[in-house]
Amino acid sequence: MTRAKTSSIAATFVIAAGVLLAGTPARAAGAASASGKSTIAAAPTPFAKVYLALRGCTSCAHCRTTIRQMAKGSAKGGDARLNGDQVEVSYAKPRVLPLRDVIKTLAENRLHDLSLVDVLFEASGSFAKGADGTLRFTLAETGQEFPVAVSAPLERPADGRRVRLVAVVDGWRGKGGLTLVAREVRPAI
Amino acid sequence: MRLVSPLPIRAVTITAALALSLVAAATARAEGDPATERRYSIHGYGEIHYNNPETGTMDKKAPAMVDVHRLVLGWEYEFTSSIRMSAEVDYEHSASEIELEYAHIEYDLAPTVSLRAGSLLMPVGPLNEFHEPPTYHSVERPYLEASVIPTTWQEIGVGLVGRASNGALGYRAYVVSGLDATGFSTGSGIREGRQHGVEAKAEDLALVGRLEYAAKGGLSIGGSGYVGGADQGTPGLGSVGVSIAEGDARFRRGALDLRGEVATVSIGNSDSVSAVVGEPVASRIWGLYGEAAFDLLHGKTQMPDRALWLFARFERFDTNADTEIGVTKDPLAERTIVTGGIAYHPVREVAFKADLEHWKDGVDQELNRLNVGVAFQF
Repeated sequence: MTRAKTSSIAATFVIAAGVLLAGTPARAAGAASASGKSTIAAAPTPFAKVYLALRGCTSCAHCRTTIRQMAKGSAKGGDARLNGDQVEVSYAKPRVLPLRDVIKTLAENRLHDLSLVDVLFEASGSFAKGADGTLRFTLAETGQEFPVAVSAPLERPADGRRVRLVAVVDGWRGKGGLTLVAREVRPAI
Repeated sequence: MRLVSPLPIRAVTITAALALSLVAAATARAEGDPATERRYSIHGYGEIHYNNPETGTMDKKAPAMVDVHRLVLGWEYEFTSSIRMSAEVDYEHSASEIELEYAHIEYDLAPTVSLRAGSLLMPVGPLNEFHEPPTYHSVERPYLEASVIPTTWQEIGVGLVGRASNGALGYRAYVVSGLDATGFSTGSGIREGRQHGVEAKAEDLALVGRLEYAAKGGLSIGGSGYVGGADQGTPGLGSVGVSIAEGDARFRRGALDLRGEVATVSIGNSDSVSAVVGEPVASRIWGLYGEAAFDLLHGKTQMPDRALWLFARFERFDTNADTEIGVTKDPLAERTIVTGGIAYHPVREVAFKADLEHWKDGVDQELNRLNVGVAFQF
């Protein structure tokens, strides 16, 4: 084996070690937090978040930049981060959310190898029945409304009580309205 | 950055520095900084080939070859949601050659416009920036992409990358270090004029850009342009300018995948270059290819990413198409290749491939080559 090859292979192991170590911090940080030794204050909860799960090429810099720019371009003030194969659009402060636009940009992207597979939505607000009798989720402070479905084992909170809702967004594959399907309801902070 | 023996120490130093930065940052994260959570992403790809006979020859009796052609590890680190660093290191030929694929900083100037600076993949052709092995059907990349467009091609520079029309229109425009004409040759064209950012000569710069538009219905078209100096102040060369024009199209719908590309390269003062390098260097290089592929499993499997592509490709290129008066053209530089084969994807990111190539050069030498390969990306 040549010296060059030996050195290169050694370098590969160094890289591999780096890759492996990069995977450990989340666990390590979690352990620190669980033991109560973490001194880091929690970041303020954003007004709303939209999580968009993608399938296809999300690994190379070219694709990741394209995905980011599509998300940021449609988010209208939202901050977009790409985490693995998931885009996270975050709104720190209250504003009317362009939820349909954000979803549409990624769902109808014309890249050859990228598709949107699921959308999750998280925001603070309250439940109440609308004038047409359907259950609606009204976002705090902006009053923006979405139809929402809550099914067992989740319990529908009392009308008007402020909660934090995590919901699957339904209906984006069609041309009709968007509906939220509650996955988690907890007291708002 | 191509670093082959006898420069292993530099290669290891670069690799180790990149790895250590990753480890250091990961350690910081492990020490409890939630702000760094999810700022990293790791990716990679690779391909392992069997070629019979080996590549790079028209000798029918040349031996067969197996090769871990490339194993690439890459990562991205987000400083903030608007500033990030991205890099890849390519371990070629079972890690006997190390190449810095790219390493750049990206800074979002606006939601759909970003500044990029560093070692940049040149936006020339559809493959140079987007070359993960499962994305093309053949074992080897289309040869036009190596012989006319010198993929993988990276230079140091700065420029803009952006999108418009709701993401359908993409563009890149960079100022980069120019090519080095002392690397030009008859058989490889401008390929060895790439500087890879290795203490690159920067007497001559170049402008490079690409526009691509994805229409509704599965059609996408792209065009790239490059213009720059390449003499780099080398005595005896005079002023050497290089320009590249490229156009490509792809149509993908259902089980059908069609691709085509045409590219031409012009080299000014190529007679001076020929005299300096000691072989005929073209004043014009050109090439084209067309490929049709059909997914035999489309609509016949519950697994959305499983595919069995049957493909055929025709390509022709000439790295010595025209020469200046007084420089004798080499007919061996004209090559026609017909390739047919299959690529099976059990999942989108993994491909098992096999194909047959038929080569014919400008003096009617012919060669058949069998290629088998496995490719992956993550």
